[in-house]
Amino acid sequence: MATSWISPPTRTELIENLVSGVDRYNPSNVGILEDYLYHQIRSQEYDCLANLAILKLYQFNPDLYNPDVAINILIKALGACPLPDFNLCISLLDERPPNASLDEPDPLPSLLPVLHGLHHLLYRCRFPAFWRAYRSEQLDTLRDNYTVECAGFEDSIRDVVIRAVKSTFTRIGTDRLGTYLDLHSPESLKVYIDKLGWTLNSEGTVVNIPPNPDNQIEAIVVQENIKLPQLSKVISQAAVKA
Amino acid sequence: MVGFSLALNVLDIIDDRFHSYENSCELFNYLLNSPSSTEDDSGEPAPVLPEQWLWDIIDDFIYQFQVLCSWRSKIKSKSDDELMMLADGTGVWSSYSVLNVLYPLIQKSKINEYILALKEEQVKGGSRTAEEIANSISPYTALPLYRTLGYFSVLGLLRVHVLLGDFTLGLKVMDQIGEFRWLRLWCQIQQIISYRPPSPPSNPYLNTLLYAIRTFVTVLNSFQRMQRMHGYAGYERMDQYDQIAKTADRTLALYAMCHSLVLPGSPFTRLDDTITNTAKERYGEQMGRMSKGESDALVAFEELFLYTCPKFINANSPPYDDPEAIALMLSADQESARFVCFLAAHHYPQIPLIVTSVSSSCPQLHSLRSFLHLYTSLTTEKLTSFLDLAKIGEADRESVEGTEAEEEAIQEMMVFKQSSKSLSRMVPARLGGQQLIQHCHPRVKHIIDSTSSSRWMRAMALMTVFYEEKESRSKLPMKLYLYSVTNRNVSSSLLHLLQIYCSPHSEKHCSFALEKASEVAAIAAVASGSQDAAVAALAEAMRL
Repeated sequence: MATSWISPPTRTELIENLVSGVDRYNPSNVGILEDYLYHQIRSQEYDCLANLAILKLYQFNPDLYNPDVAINILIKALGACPLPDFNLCISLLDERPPNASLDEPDPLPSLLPVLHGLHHLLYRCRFPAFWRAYRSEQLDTLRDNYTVECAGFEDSIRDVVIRAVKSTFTRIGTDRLGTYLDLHSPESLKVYIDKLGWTLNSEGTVVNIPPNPDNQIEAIVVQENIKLPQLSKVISQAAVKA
Repeated sequence: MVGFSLALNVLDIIDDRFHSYENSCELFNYLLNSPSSTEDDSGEPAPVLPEQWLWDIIDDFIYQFQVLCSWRSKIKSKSDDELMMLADGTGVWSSYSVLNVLYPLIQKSKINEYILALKEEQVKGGSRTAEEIANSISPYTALPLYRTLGYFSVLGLLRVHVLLGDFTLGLKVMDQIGEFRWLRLWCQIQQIISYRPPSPPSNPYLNTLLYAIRTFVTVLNSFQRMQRMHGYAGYERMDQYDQIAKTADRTLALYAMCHSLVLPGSPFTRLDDTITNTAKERYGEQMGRMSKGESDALVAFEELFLYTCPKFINANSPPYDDPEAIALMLSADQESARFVCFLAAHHYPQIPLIVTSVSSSCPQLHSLRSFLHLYTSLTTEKLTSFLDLAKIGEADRESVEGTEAEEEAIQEMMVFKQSSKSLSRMVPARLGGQQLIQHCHPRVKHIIDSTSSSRWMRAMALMTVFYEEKESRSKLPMKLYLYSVTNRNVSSSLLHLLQIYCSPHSEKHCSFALEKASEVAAIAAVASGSQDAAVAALAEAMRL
C-alpha cells in the first residue's frame, strides 16, 4: 500500500517530476496539477501527493485558491480512509483572510465540517451511519455539486468498507454487509460480491470471505536473533563465579 | 559577516529584521556563487567556516523567519511606520524566499546523492573512502563547507515544512538522510536539539506511531546520556543544558502521547521500561487521563500537544500592500477577521486533527483490548455487555436497542483491527498487531495475540500450546506466566517454565525441552541480570 501511495502506477512522468522536484513550488504549474486532479476524478484514480502539491501551491499563493478544487481533493481523500490522507490535506488548508475576489461566497467553510464529520464516521467504521448521513437532505449540496461528478465516489467508499470487513471477518451475513455497503437489494449485493470473488453459502445468507493475511488466525511472532554463543560469555562468567 | 547578527533575540526594530534578511541573503548568495577550489581561476580560496558557525547561520535564519512571521500575522498593534515598511517589503522573509535559500543549498551540495552513494558503497563493501565518493559526485560536495551546509539545510527544510503544517513534505525531505545519520550528527553538535521538537509531531500524523515511539526512545536515551554528562567538558554553558532538559521534557511528553495512543500490548510498546517509567513519573496524571478515554482524555491530549508542538506559522503575510484590505481586517471584529472556517476555534488547525485521530483510536479500544486479552473466544453479546454498550440484565435483550448495541460492538471491532495495523515508514510491511477474527455465524470471535519478539516468548507460546492440549485447566496459569514475562518479572517466570519443562507432564516433549531449556536458562541469566538466578537456571537445566 505504501509504495503505491508514494507513487501511484497511474502517475505520468510529467506529474512525477512536478511532485518530487522543486518545480512543485512554481505557481504556473497549478493548472497542470488541477487538470490531473480532474483526470483522477473522471477516471477513478487517486494520487494523494499530487493533490497535496496543489494545496501547497494554494498555501503559498492565496490568489490561486480555488474552493472547488480543494473540496474535490478532500472528497478524493475520503476514499483513502483509514490512511491519514484527509487529515494531511486539512493541515495544509491553513488560515486565510476571507477572499473578497471570488464572485460567490466560498463554499469550503460550510462544507468543511460536513466532510470532517463524514471522514470521522468512516474512520470509526460507522458505515451505516455514514450512508445515512451521506444520503440525508442536508447534504444535498455536496451530492449535487461535487460527489456526483466524482466518478465512482460511492465505490471508493465501498472499497473502504471492504478493506475493513476483509480484515475483520471470515464470514459475514448478507444483511450486515448490505447495510455496510449500502446495497440493499440482494441482486446488487450479489453482483458486487461476485466482482470481489467472494462466495455465498448455499442458503445465500452468509458471505464467505477468502483468507487473507489479516483475517487468519495465527500468532505473529516477531523474531529476535539471539544465539546461544552470543551469551556464552555471560554464562561462563556465571559458571566460574559459582 | 559583520552585520550578520547570530543571536538576534530582541527583534524590536523592524529595520533590523529587514537588514538581517538582506545580510543573510547576501551571505547565502556568496556561498552559492563562490567557486569550488577545483574550478578556481581567480585564485580566491574556497570558503571555510567552522561547523558550529554553519549551524548557527541556518538555525538563526529559520528562527528569524519564524519570529517575523508570527509577528507579522498580528495585524493589530502595528504603528503606521511599521505598516508602511511591511507594505513595501512583502517579499522579504516570505516562505518562498526561505525555500529559495534552502533548496539551492541542498542541490548545490548534492547531499542526498552523496548519502545515497555512501550507502551503496557500504552495501557493496567497497573500499572507497568518503572523501573519494564526495569527490566523484561534484567539486562542491568535496568541500566540507558545502557538505555540512547541505546537511543542515535539509534539517532546516524539515523545520520550515513542519512549521508550515506540511508534515508530508517534512518527512519527504528526510528520506535520504534518515534517522540514524541524523541522530549521529545531532549528537555531535548539541545545538541541533533546538531542531528536534518540530519534527516528532509529524510522525503520529502519518500513522506511523510505532515508528515514532522507536524514534523517541532512541532520542530520549541520548538525552539521558547527555544529561548525565552535565558538568563534564563541553557542557559548561548553562543555557545549553537548560535547553537540553527542556527539549527532553517535551520529547518525553510526545512519547507519553504516543504511548497512550498505541494499543497496549502491541509489539514495540514495551521497548524501554526505563523511559516509560520516567514518562509515567513526569506525566503520570495526563497519561492516566489519556488512557481512560472520554472527553477528559482529549483535554489532556490538547494540553500536551500544545506544550510540545512548535509554534506553527502562516505561510503568507496579511495583505499589507493593500491598505483597503488591511483596513477591512482591522475594522472587522476578531472572529471574522480570522480564518472563516471552523478551524479558527483553535489556535492551531493541527489540534482538531490530532484530537480526531485520538478520539477514534482511544475511547473504548483500551478496554476492548483488555477483555480480548482474557479470552480466546467470545460472543458478541458478552462483549457488548462488557463494553457497557447495552445492559445485559435488562428484560428485553432482544429489543432493537440490543441489536444496535451489538452492531456498535462489531463496528468497534473493525476500528480495533484497523488501528492495530500500522504502516512502517516507507516499506510496505505489517508490523503485526493483534489478530482477531470474527465468524459471523456462531457470533464468536477468535482471538490470538501476536507474541512479541524474544525467543523465550516463543518458547513460552509453544509450551502454552502443548500444555493446553494436555490439560486445559492449566491454561490460566500459563497465561499468567506469559503475562508476568511481559511484565518484566522474567527470571522467576522462566524458572517456573523450567520446572514445567522438567515436570513429568512433559515427558513426551522431552527432547524439545532438553533442546530449549539451556537456551531459556541463558536468556534468564541475561534478562534478570542476576548471577544467582542464572546459576540456578543452569543448574535446573543440567538436572535434565
